[in-house]
Amino acid sequence: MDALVGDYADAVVIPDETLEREFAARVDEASRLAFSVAMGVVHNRADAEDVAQEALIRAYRNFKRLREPAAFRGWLVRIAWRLAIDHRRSAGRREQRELESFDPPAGPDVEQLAAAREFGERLWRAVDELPEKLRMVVVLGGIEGYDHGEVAALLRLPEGTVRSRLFAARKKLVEKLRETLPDRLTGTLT
Amino acid sequence: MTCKHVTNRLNDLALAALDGPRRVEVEAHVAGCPACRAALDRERRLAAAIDREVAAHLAAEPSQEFAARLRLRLAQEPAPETASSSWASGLLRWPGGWTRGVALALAASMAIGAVWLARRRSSASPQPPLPSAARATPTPCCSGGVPTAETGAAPRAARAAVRTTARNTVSASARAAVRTPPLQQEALAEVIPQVIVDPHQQEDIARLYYAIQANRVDLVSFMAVPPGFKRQADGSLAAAPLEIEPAPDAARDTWSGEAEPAREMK
Repeated sequence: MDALVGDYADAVVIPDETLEREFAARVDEASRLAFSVAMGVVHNRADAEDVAQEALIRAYRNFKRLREPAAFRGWLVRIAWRLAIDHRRSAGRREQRELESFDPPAGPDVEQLAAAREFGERLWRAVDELPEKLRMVVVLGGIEGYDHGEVAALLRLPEGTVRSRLFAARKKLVEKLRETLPDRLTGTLT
Repeated sequence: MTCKHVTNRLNDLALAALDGPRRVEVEAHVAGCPACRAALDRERRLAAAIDREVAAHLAAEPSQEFAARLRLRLAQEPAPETASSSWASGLLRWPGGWTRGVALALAASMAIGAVWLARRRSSASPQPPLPSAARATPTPCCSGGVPTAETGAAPRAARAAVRTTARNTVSASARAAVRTPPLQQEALAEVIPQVIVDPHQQEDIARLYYAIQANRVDLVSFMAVPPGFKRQADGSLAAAPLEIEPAPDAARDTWSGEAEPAREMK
Protein backbone atom coordinates (compact mmCIF):
# COMPACT_ATOMS: atom_id res chain seq x y z
CA MET A 1 0.00 0.00 0.00
CA ASP A 2 2.87 2.33 0.81
CA ALA A 3 4.25 1.91 -2.66
CA LEU A 4 0.86 2.58 -4.21
CA VAL A 5 0.15 5.68 -2.20
CA GLY A 6 3.65 6.94 -2.85
CA ASP A 7 3.00 6.92 -6.60
CA TYR A 8 -0.42 8.38 -6.01
CA ALA A 9 0.97 11.24 -3.94
CA ASP A 10 3.32 12.25 -6.72
CA ALA A 11 0.62 12.14 -9.34
CA VAL A 12 -2.16 14.11 -7.67
CA VAL A 13 -2.66 17.74 -8.60
CA ILE A 14 -3.46 19.61 -5.41
CA PRO A 15 -6.31 22.10 -5.84
CA ASP A 16 -6.42 25.51 -4.22
CA GLU A 17 -8.43 24.69 -1.11
CA THR A 18 -9.03 28.29 -0.22
CA LEU A 19 -10.84 28.80 -3.49
CA GLU A 20 -12.83 25.65 -2.95
CA ARG A 21 -13.95 26.74 0.48
CA GLU A 22 -14.83 30.23 -0.70
CA PHE A 23 -16.96 28.82 -3.46
CA ALA A 24 -18.58 26.27 -1.16
CA ALA A 25 -19.56 29.04 1.23
CA ARG A 26 -21.39 30.83 -1.56
CA VAL A 27 -23.02 27.90 -3.28
CA ASP A 28 -26.08 27.76 -1.03
CA GLU A 29 -27.31 31.25 -1.75
CA ALA A 30 -25.90 31.32 -5.25
CA SER A 31 -27.78 28.24 -6.43
CA ARG A 32 -31.08 29.77 -5.31
CA LEU A 33 -30.27 33.05 -7.05
CA ALA A 34 -29.20 31.37 -10.27
CA PHE A 35 -32.36 29.27 -10.28
CA SER A 36 -34.61 32.31 -9.82
CA VAL A 37 -32.87 34.24 -12.58
CA ALA A 38 -33.19 31.27 -14.91
CA MET A 39 -36.82 30.82 -13.94
CA GLY A 40 -37.51 34.44 -14.88
CA VAL A 41 -36.27 33.73 -18.40
CA VAL A 42 -37.14 30.16 -19.24
CA HIS A 43 -40.32 29.95 -17.10
CA ASN A 44 -39.96 26.24 -16.57
CA ARG A 45 -38.62 24.53 -13.48
CA ALA A 46 -36.72 21.74 -15.20
CA ASP A 47 -35.10 24.09 -17.71
CA ALA A 48 -34.32 26.58 -14.95
CA GLU A 49 -32.57 23.86 -12.96
CA ASP A 50 -30.48 22.91 -15.99
CA VAL A 51 -29.52 26.51 -16.57
CA ALA A 52 -28.76 27.19 -12.91
CA GLN A 53 -26.61 24.11 -12.65
CA GLU A 54 -24.65 25.02 -15.75
CA ALA A 55 -24.21 28.58 -14.50
CA LEU A 56 -22.84 27.36 -11.19
CA ILE A 57 -20.48 24.94 -12.88
CA ARG A 58 -19.14 27.70 -15.09
CA ALA A 59 -18.83 30.00 -12.13
CA TYR A 60 -16.91 27.28 -10.29
CA ARG A 61 -14.58 26.71 -13.21
CA ASN A 62 -13.77 30.39 -13.50
CA PHE A 63 -13.98 31.34 -9.85
CA LYS A 64 -10.25 31.99 -9.70
CA ARG A 65 -10.54 34.68 -12.34
CA LEU A 66 -12.89 36.71 -10.21
CA ARG A 67 -10.84 39.53 -8.74
CA GLU A 68 -13.51 40.91 -6.43
CA PRO A 69 -15.24 38.27 -4.33
CA ALA A 70 -18.01 40.78 -3.56
CA ALA A 71 -18.94 40.80 -7.23
CA PHE A 72 -19.62 37.07 -7.25
CA ARG A 73 -23.41 37.26 -7.19
CA GLY A 74 -23.61 39.86 -9.96
CA TRP A 75 -21.21 37.81 -12.00
CA LEU A 76 -23.28 34.69 -11.47
CA VAL A 77 -26.46 36.55 -12.40
CA ARG A 78 -24.96 37.53 -15.73
CA ILE A 79 -23.79 33.99 -16.43
CA ALA A 80 -27.20 32.57 -15.56
CA TRP A 81 -28.97 35.22 -17.60
CA ARG A 82 -26.94 34.61 -20.75
CA LEU A 83 -27.27 30.86 -20.43
CA ALA A 84 -31.02 31.15 -19.92
CA ILE A 85 -31.38 33.35 -22.99
CA ASP A 86 -29.40 30.84 -25.05
CA HIS A 87 -31.42 27.99 -23.59
CA ARG A 88 -34.65 29.66 -24.57
CA ARG A 89 -33.59 30.08 -28.14
CA SER A 90 -33.75 26.38 -28.66
CA ALA A 91 -36.99 25.75 -30.52
CA GLY A 92 -37.66 22.35 -29.02
CA ARG A 93 -37.28 23.58 -25.50
CA ARG A 94 -39.52 26.54 -26.19
CA GLU A 95 -42.37 24.29 -27.27
CA GLN A 96 -41.91 22.14 -24.22
CA ARG A 97 -41.71 25.14 -21.96
CA GLU A 98 -44.94 26.62 -23.27
CA LEU A 99 -46.70 23.38 -22.59
CA GLU A 100 -45.39 22.93 -19.09
CA SER A 101 -45.12 26.41 -17.67
CA PHE A 102 -47.53 28.57 -15.74
CA ASP A 103 -49.14 25.86 -13.73
CA PRO A 104 -51.48 27.80 -11.45
CA PRO A 105 -51.70 26.90 -7.79
CA ALA A 106 -54.39 24.38 -6.97
CA GLY A 107 -57.74 25.89 -5.99
CA PRO A 108 -61.42 25.18 -6.01
CA ASP A 109 -62.54 27.40 -8.85
CA VAL A 110 -61.65 26.02 -12.26
CA GLU A 111 -62.46 29.25 -14.06
CA GLN A 112 -60.31 31.23 -11.70
CA LEU A 113 -57.47 28.79 -12.22
CA ALA A 114 -57.76 29.10 -15.97
CA ALA A 115 -57.88 32.89 -15.69
CA ALA A 116 -54.80 32.94 -13.46
CA ARG A 117 -52.98 30.72 -15.91
CA GLU A 118 -53.88 32.90 -18.86
CA PHE A 119 -52.91 36.04 -16.98
CA GLY A 120 -49.51 34.53 -16.15
CA GLU A 121 -48.91 33.57 -19.74
CA ARG A 122 -49.84 37.00 -21.03
CA LEU A 123 -47.77 38.75 -18.39
CA TRP A 124 -44.60 36.77 -19.04
CA ARG A 125 -45.04 37.13 -22.77
CA ALA A 126 -45.14 40.89 -22.18
CA VAL A 127 -42.09 40.67 -19.91
CA ASP A 128 -40.22 38.71 -22.57
CA GLU A 129 -40.93 41.48 -25.07
CA LEU A 130 -39.38 44.15 -22.86
CA PRO A 131 -35.92 45.48 -23.67
CA GLU A 132 -33.29 43.38 -21.90
CA LYS A 133 -32.30 46.14 -19.47
CA LEU A 134 -35.86 46.47 -18.22
CA ARG A 135 -36.47 42.76 -18.24
CA MET A 136 -33.49 42.03 -16.05
CA VAL A 137 -34.62 44.60 -13.50
CA VAL A 138 -38.13 43.12 -13.43
CA VAL A 139 -36.77 39.62 -12.80
CA LEU A 140 -34.20 40.58 -10.19
CA GLY A 141 -36.59 42.97 -8.46
CA GLY A 142 -39.19 40.22 -8.33
CA ILE A 143 -36.95 37.83 -6.40
CA GLU A 144 -37.83 37.74 -2.74
CA GLY A 145 -35.43 39.73 -0.63
CA TYR A 146 -33.99 41.76 -3.49
CA ASP A 147 -34.95 45.40 -3.13
CA HIS A 148 -33.77 48.28 -5.30
CA GLY A 149 -30.49 48.51 -3.43
CA GLU A 150 -29.75 44.81 -3.84
CA VAL A 151 -30.60 44.88 -7.54
CA ALA A 152 -28.43 47.97 -7.98
CA ALA A 153 -25.54 46.17 -6.30
CA LEU A 154 -26.00 43.08 -8.47
CA LEU A 155 -26.08 45.07 -11.68
CA ARG A 156 -23.54 47.66 -10.54
CA LEU A 157 -25.93 50.46 -11.29
CA PRO A 158 -27.00 53.49 -9.27
CA GLU A 159 -30.09 52.79 -7.23
CA GLY A 160 -31.93 55.63 -8.98
CA THR A 161 -31.32 53.97 -12.33
CA VAL A 162 -32.76 50.72 -11.08
CA ARG A 163 -35.78 52.54 -9.70
CA SER A 164 -36.45 54.36 -12.96
CA ARG A 165 -35.97 51.21 -15.02
CA LEU A 166 -38.32 49.28 -12.80
CA PHE A 167 -40.92 52.01 -13.10
CA ALA A 168 -40.54 52.11 -16.89
CA ALA A 169 -40.88 48.33 -17.05
CA ARG A 170 -43.98 48.21 -14.88
CA LYS A 171 -45.55 51.04 -16.82
CA LYS A 172 -44.98 49.22 -20.09
CA LEU A 173 -46.38 46.02 -18.65
CA VAL A 174 -49.51 47.72 -17.34
CA GLU A 175 -50.06 49.46 -20.67
CA LYS A 176 -49.51 46.26 -22.60
CA LEU A 177 -51.82 44.22 -20.44
CA ARG A 178 -54.44 46.93 -20.30
CA GLU A 179 -54.64 46.79 -24.08
CA THR A 180 -54.54 43.05 -24.48
CA LEU A 181 -56.17 41.68 -21.36
CA PRO A 182 -59.75 40.56 -22.01
CA ASP A 183 -62.46 42.01 -19.77
CA ARG A 184 -63.19 38.57 -18.35
CA LEU A 185 -59.64 38.45 -17.01
CA THR A 186 -59.69 42.00 -15.77
CA GLY A 187 -62.68 41.14 -13.66
CA THR A 188 -60.74 38.36 -11.94
CA LEU A 189 -57.99 40.69 -10.74
CA THR A 190 -58.18 41.49 -7.10
CA MET B 1 -58.34 69.28 -15.58
CA THR B 2 -60.35 67.08 -17.94
CA CYS B 3 -60.71 63.28 -18.03
CA LYS B 4 -58.49 63.18 -21.13
CA HIS B 5 -55.61 64.83 -19.24
CA VAL B 6 -56.08 62.64 -16.20
CA THR B 7 -56.19 59.37 -18.13
CA ASN B 8 -52.56 59.82 -19.15
CA ARG B 9 -51.59 60.29 -15.50
CA LEU B 10 -53.56 57.43 -14.01
CA ASN B 11 -50.87 54.92 -14.75
CA ASP B 12 -48.27 57.01 -12.94
CA LEU B 13 -50.58 57.47 -10.01
CA ALA B 14 -51.30 53.74 -9.83
CA LEU B 15 -47.57 52.99 -9.81
CA ALA B 16 -46.97 55.62 -7.13
CA ALA B 17 -44.76 57.60 -9.45
CA LEU B 18 -46.67 60.85 -9.33
CA ASP B 19 -45.98 63.45 -6.70
CA GLY B 20 -46.12 67.16 -6.11
CA PRO B 21 -48.83 69.45 -7.50
CA ARG B 22 -49.65 67.08 -10.36
CA ARG B 23 -50.58 64.34 -7.97
CA VAL B 24 -52.85 66.71 -6.05
CA GLU B 25 -54.56 67.77 -9.28
CA VAL B 26 -55.13 64.20 -10.50
CA GLU B 27 -56.39 63.02 -7.13
CA ALA B 28 -58.78 65.96 -6.95
CA HIS B 29 -60.20 65.05 -10.34
CA VAL B 30 -60.46 61.36 -9.56
CA ALA B 31 -62.32 62.12 -6.33
CA GLY B 32 -65.10 63.78 -8.29
CA CYS B 33 -65.15 61.57 -11.41
CA PRO B 34 -66.54 58.02 -11.07
CA ALA B 35 -65.23 56.94 -14.50
CA CYS B 36 -61.67 58.01 -13.75
CA ARG B 37 -61.92 56.49 -10.27
CA ALA B 38 -62.90 53.15 -11.79
CA ALA B 39 -60.07 53.43 -14.32
CA LEU B 40 -57.58 54.20 -11.53
CA ASP B 41 -58.86 51.24 -9.55
CA ARG B 42 -58.38 49.00 -12.57
CA GLU B 43 -54.84 50.25 -13.07
CA ARG B 44 -53.98 49.66 -9.45
CA ARG B 45 -55.38 46.12 -9.48
CA LEU B 46 -53.48 45.38 -12.66
CA ALA B 47 -50.19 46.69 -11.22
CA ALA B 48 -50.73 44.69 -8.03
CA ALA B 49 -51.54 41.54 -10.02
CA ILE B 50 -48.35 41.97 -12.04
CA ASP B 51 -46.23 42.28 -8.92
CA ARG B 52 -47.94 39.27 -7.36
CA GLU B 53 -47.52 37.07 -10.39
CA VAL B 54 -43.87 38.02 -10.87
CA ALA B 55 -43.10 37.32 -7.22
CA ALA B 56 -45.02 34.02 -7.20
CA HIS B 57 -43.35 32.84 -10.39
CA LEU B 58 -39.87 33.62 -9.12
CA ALA B 59 -40.56 32.15 -5.70
CA ALA B 60 -40.58 28.65 -7.20
CA GLU B 61 -38.11 26.39 -5.44
CA PRO B 62 -35.77 24.03 -7.22
CA SER B 63 -36.47 20.35 -6.70
CA GLN B 64 -34.71 18.23 -4.09
CA GLU B 65 -32.85 16.44 -6.85
CA PHE B 66 -31.38 19.74 -8.01
CA ALA B 67 -29.17 20.05 -4.94
CA ALA B 68 -28.00 16.45 -5.23
CA ARG B 69 -27.29 16.76 -8.94
CA LEU B 70 -25.43 20.01 -8.44
CA ARG B 71 -23.38 18.51 -5.61
CA LEU B 72 -22.39 15.59 -7.77
CA ARG B 73 -21.59 17.78 -10.77
CA LEU B 74 -19.39 20.04 -8.69
CA ALA B 75 -17.68 17.05 -7.15
CA GLN B 76 -16.88 15.64 -10.57
CA GLU B 77 -15.43 18.92 -11.77
CA PRO B 78 -11.66 19.20 -11.71
CA ALA B 79 -10.37 21.84 -9.33
CA PRO B 80 -10.72 25.30 -10.87
CA GLU B 81 -7.84 26.42 -13.04
CA THR B 82 -5.60 23.60 -11.90
CA ALA B 83 -5.47 21.39 -14.96
CA SER B 84 -2.67 18.89 -14.79
CA SER B 85 0.48 20.04 -16.48
CA SER B 86 1.51 16.50 -17.16
CA TRP B 87 1.50 15.72 -20.86
CA ALA B 88 0.79 12.13 -20.03
CA SER B 89 -2.37 12.88 -18.12
CA GLY B 90 -3.45 15.25 -20.90
CA LEU B 91 -2.91 12.45 -23.35
CA LEU B 92 -4.87 10.08 -21.19
CA ARG B 93 -7.79 12.46 -21.05
CA TRP B 94 -7.99 12.44 -24.81
CA PRO B 95 -10.33 11.40 -26.36
CA GLY B 96 -12.02 10.69 -23.05
CA GLY B 97 -14.30 7.89 -22.08
CA TRP B 98 -11.87 5.00 -21.99
CA THR B 99 -9.81 6.60 -19.23
CA ARG B 100 -12.76 6.35 -16.91
CA GLY B 101 -13.01 2.64 -17.48
CA VAL B 102 -9.29 2.23 -16.84
CA ALA B 103 -9.56 4.38 -13.73
CA LEU B 104 -12.43 2.38 -12.33
CA ALA B 105 -10.70 -0.92 -13.05
CA LEU B 106 -7.56 0.38 -11.37
CA ALA B 107 -9.46 1.58 -8.35
CA ALA B 108 -11.27 -1.73 -8.00
CA SER B 109 -8.09 -3.77 -8.28
CA MET B 110 -6.33 -1.48 -5.81
CA ALA B 111 -9.16 -1.81 -3.35
CA ILE B 112 -8.86 -5.58 -3.57
CA GLY B 113 -5.12 -5.32 -3.16
CA ALA B 114 -5.54 -3.08 -0.15
CA VAL B 115 -7.82 -5.59 1.52
CA TRP B 116 -5.38 -8.37 0.86
CA LEU B 117 -2.48 -6.33 2.22
CA ALA B 118 -4.46 -5.31 5.27
CA ARG B 119 -5.34 -8.92 6.06
CA ARG B 120 -1.77 -9.96 5.55
CA ARG B 121 -0.53 -7.28 7.95
CA SER B 122 -3.17 -7.85 10.55
CA SER B 123 -2.34 -11.54 10.62
CA ALA B 124 1.38 -10.76 10.88
CA SER B 125 1.28 -8.15 13.67
CA PRO B 126 -1.62 -7.00 15.84
CA GLN B 127 -2.46 -3.30 15.50
CA PRO B 128 -3.60 -0.98 18.29
CA PRO B 129 -7.37 -0.62 18.61
CA LEU B 130 -8.86 2.19 16.55
CA PRO B 131 -11.12 4.80 18.16
CA SER B 132 -14.76 4.31 17.32
CA ALA B 133 -14.85 7.61 15.41
CA ALA B 134 -12.32 6.28 12.98
CA ARG B 135 -14.67 3.46 12.01
CA ALA B 136 -17.45 5.85 11.15
CA THR B 137 -18.45 5.81 7.54
CA PRO B 138 -18.08 9.24 5.91
CA THR B 139 -21.48 10.79 5.47
CA PRO B 140 -22.50 13.70 3.25
CA CYS B 141 -22.43 16.92 5.23
CA CYS B 142 -24.43 19.76 3.86
CA SER B 143 -27.06 22.21 4.92
CA GLY B 144 -30.31 22.69 3.13
CA GLY B 145 -29.50 20.08 0.57
CA VAL B 146 -26.83 22.26 -0.99
CA PRO B 147 -23.14 21.67 -0.53
CA THR B 148 -21.40 23.81 2.03
CA ALA B 149 -18.03 23.82 3.65
CA GLU B 150 -16.94 20.79 5.62
CA THR B 151 -19.24 20.44 8.62
CA GLY B 152 -19.47 16.76 9.46
CA ALA B 153 -17.95 16.07 12.87
CA ALA B 154 -17.79 12.29 12.52
CA PRO B 155 -15.86 12.19 9.24
CA ARG B 156 -13.51 14.85 10.56
CA ALA B 157 -12.92 12.88 13.71
CA ALA B 158 -12.44 9.76 11.65
CA ARG B 159 -9.84 11.44 9.52
CA ALA B 160 -8.01 12.73 12.57
CA ALA B 161 -8.04 9.30 14.15
CA VAL B 162 -6.80 7.62 11.02
CA ARG B 163 -4.03 10.17 10.83
CA THR B 164 -2.72 9.21 14.23
CA THR B 165 -3.20 5.48 14.16
CA ALA B 166 -2.57 4.33 10.66
CA ARG B 167 0.88 5.73 10.03
CA ASN B 168 2.11 2.33 9.12
CA THR B 169 -0.19 2.17 6.14
CA VAL B 170 -0.02 5.63 4.54
CA SER B 171 2.92 7.97 4.61
CA ALA B 172 2.45 11.51 5.92
CA SER B 173 3.58 13.11 2.68
CA ALA B 174 1.08 11.11 0.71
CA ARG B 175 -1.68 12.06 3.10
CA ALA B 176 -0.88 15.75 2.72
CA ALA B 177 -0.97 15.47 -1.03
CA VAL B 178 -4.25 13.62 -1.11
CA ARG B 179 -6.26 16.51 0.24
CA THR B 180 -9.75 16.29 -1.10
CA PRO B 181 -11.56 19.57 -1.83
CA PRO B 182 -14.46 20.26 0.55
CA LEU B 183 -17.11 20.03 -2.15
CA GLN B 184 -15.78 16.69 -3.18
CA GLN B 185 -15.55 15.32 0.33
CA GLU B 186 -19.30 15.58 0.64
CA ALA B 187 -19.89 13.60 -2.48
CA LEU B 188 -17.55 10.78 -1.51
CA ALA B 189 -20.24 8.74 0.16
CA GLU B 190 -22.37 8.88 -2.99
CA VAL B 191 -19.58 8.36 -5.46
CA ILE B 192 -17.55 5.51 -4.06
CA PRO B 193 -18.75 2.00 -4.74
CA GLN B 194 -19.53 -0.42 -1.96
CA VAL B 195 -16.38 -2.44 -1.43
CA ILE B 196 -15.15 -4.18 1.66
CA VAL B 197 -12.15 -2.28 2.93
CA ASP B 198 -10.15 -2.52 6.10
CA PRO B 199 -11.36 0.22 8.47
CA HIS B 200 -7.85 1.59 8.76
CA GLN B 201 -7.71 2.20 5.04
CA GLN B 202 -11.29 3.14 4.32
CA GLU B 203 -10.70 6.82 3.93
CA ASP B 204 -7.56 6.43 1.86
CA ILE B 205 -9.27 4.09 -0.56
CA ALA B 206 -12.19 6.48 -0.90
CA ARG B 207 -9.91 9.40 -1.61
CA LEU B 208 -7.88 7.43 -4.05
CA TYR B 209 -10.96 6.17 -5.85
CA TYR B 210 -12.39 9.64 -6.14
CA ALA B 211 -9.18 11.24 -7.33
CA ILE B 212 -8.87 8.64 -10.06
CA GLN B 213 -12.46 9.05 -11.10
CA ALA B 214 -12.08 12.83 -11.26
CA ASN B 215 -9.07 12.46 -13.57
CA ARG B 216 -6.80 14.08 -11.03
CA VAL B 217 -4.34 11.26 -10.98
CA ASP B 218 -1.72 10.68 -13.58
CA LEU B 219 -2.58 7.15 -14.55
CA VAL B 220 0.76 6.61 -16.22
CA SER B 221 2.36 6.59 -12.81
CA PHE B 222 0.24 3.61 -11.95
CA MET B 223 1.36 1.59 -14.89
CA ALA B 224 4.45 0.28 -13.09
CA VAL B 225 3.69 -2.92 -11.23
CA PRO B 226 4.21 -2.28 -7.52
CA PRO B 227 5.88 -4.85 -5.28
CA GLY B 228 3.53 -7.63 -4.28
CA PHE B 229 1.32 -7.24 -7.36
CA LYS B 230 1.19 -8.92 -10.69
CA ARG B 231 -0.11 -7.65 -14.03
CA GLN B 232 -2.95 -9.75 -15.40
CA ALA B 233 -3.82 -10.43 -19.03
CA ASP B 234 -6.47 -7.71 -19.10
CA GLY B 235 -4.00 -5.14 -17.79
CA SER B 236 -5.39 -4.94 -14.27
CA LEU B 237 -3.29 -5.54 -11.17
CA ALA B 238 -3.77 -8.47 -8.87
CA ALA B 239 -2.01 -9.43 -5.69
CA ALA B 240 0.77 -11.87 -6.49
CA PRO B 241 0.65 -15.18 -4.64
CA LEU B 242 3.24 -15.69 -1.96
CA GLU B 243 6.21 -17.65 -3.12
CA ILE B 244 7.80 -19.70 -0.34
CA GLU B 245 11.07 -21.31 -1.05
CA PRO B 246 11.36 -24.84 0.34
CA ALA B 247 14.00 -25.34 2.97
CA PRO B 248 17.00 -27.63 2.19
CA ASP B 249 16.32 -31.24 2.97
CA ALA B 250 19.24 -31.44 5.32
CA ALA B 251 17.88 -28.76 7.67
CA ARG B 252 14.20 -29.67 7.48
CA ASP B 253 14.00 -31.61 10.74
CA THR B 254 16.27 -29.52 12.90
CA TRP B 255 15.18 -26.61 15.05
CA SER B 256 18.74 -25.47 15.80
CA GLY B 257 19.76 -25.20 12.18
CA GLU B 258 22.38 -27.93 12.50
CA ALA B 259 22.12 -30.76 10.06
CA GLU B 260 21.26 -34.10 11.59
CA PRO B 261 23.72 -36.78 10.63
CA ALA B 262 22.34 -39.37 8.31
CA ARG B 263 21.48 -42.67 9.95
CA GLU B 264 23.14 -45.67 8.71
CA MET B 265 20.90 -48.41 7.50
CA LYS B 266 21.65 -51.71 9.04
